[in-house]
Amino acid sequence: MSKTREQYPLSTKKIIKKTITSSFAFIVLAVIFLFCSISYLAVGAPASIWLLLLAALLVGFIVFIVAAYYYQTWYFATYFYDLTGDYVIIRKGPITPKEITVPYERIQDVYVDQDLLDRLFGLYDVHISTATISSAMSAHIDGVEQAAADGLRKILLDKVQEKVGSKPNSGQMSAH
Amino acid sequence: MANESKQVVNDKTYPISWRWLLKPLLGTFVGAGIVSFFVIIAFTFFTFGNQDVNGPFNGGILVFIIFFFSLVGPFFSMIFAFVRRLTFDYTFEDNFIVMHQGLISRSQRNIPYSVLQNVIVKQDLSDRILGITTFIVENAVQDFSAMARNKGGRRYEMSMIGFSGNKVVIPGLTNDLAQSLKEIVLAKMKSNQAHSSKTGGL
Repeated sequence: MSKTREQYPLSTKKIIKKTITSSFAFIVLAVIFLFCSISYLAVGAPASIWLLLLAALLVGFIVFIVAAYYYQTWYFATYFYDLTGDYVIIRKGPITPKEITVPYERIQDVYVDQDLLDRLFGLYDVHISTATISSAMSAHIDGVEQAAADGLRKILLDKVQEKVGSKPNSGQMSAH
Repeated sequence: MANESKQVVNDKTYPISWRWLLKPLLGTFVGAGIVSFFVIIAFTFFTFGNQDVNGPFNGGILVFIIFFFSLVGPFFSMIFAFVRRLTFDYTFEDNFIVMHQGLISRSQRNIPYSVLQNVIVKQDLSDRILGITTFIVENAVQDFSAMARNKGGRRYEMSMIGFSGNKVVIPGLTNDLAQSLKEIVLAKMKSNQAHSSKTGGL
């Protein structure tokens, strides 16, 4: 685990949140599946088939939730982010790893946001934008609590200021 | 710095493995497998009530058709990829990445290190299976035709090679080579900074 993650840790609530998010997908698919079954099996089908179908969906749902929880735990354990002297390094994905390295000079924007579940859990996502589309897809640290989000934002902004901001007494434009 | 400039970094010393050519085939097979799985499920499940209308036999034919037609796409992708792989070369020089690409219309591209926005090292599922790693650098040019062609970059990253839009994709490296290429590029970005001391207090 990187020093940055030790200092500004991910919240373990992230695992719960992501498990819930992925279960939404399952519920949507299950509803579509049920509607398809209704139109196919029609009204005349015996009740036993419906019971079997519902039981299968329920078992599937439980298996899915457990699998999703273990996957999210694994994802959480391999989630890597480090703010080094020159770059931000973010790497995630236990099965399909993707690592993005962004120099502080290239950061266009640092923003912090929350979706609905984040607000319920008190989690924050810290996004780092460069002038590319892929930075929006990969360069964010999601699922930190407020203190860590504030800390990460401050350290990022300080680094950006240090690298590209105007230095005192070095050709600063006059105020008037 | 002196050591770096002596080290030749190009498509000979950091080669793209030929294994990479199997990627389109593998991707489509996984896709066809998933579709077939659902077809089999659908055919076995939905024939509970009326076995006489749809037997599992029809599902078998459908799976065969899916796999047969899934081979046509990757076959052409592989020919295309093979030509792209043969006609793409790159050299990481001291101040620029110099690349050539194309069979009929040939283009050269020279990207200064100072404008690189981010460096990406990644493995998707096919990469993991084939034991290869994809290396990507990006600058900030906006080529809308390339963006439309590559659907915002996702498709491009999947199975492509060479430069297009703001991306340079070098797939099929070993993990060690990709990591060392990343270190080299990051070092060159640092030594080629826009406002370095070399410009003498701009």
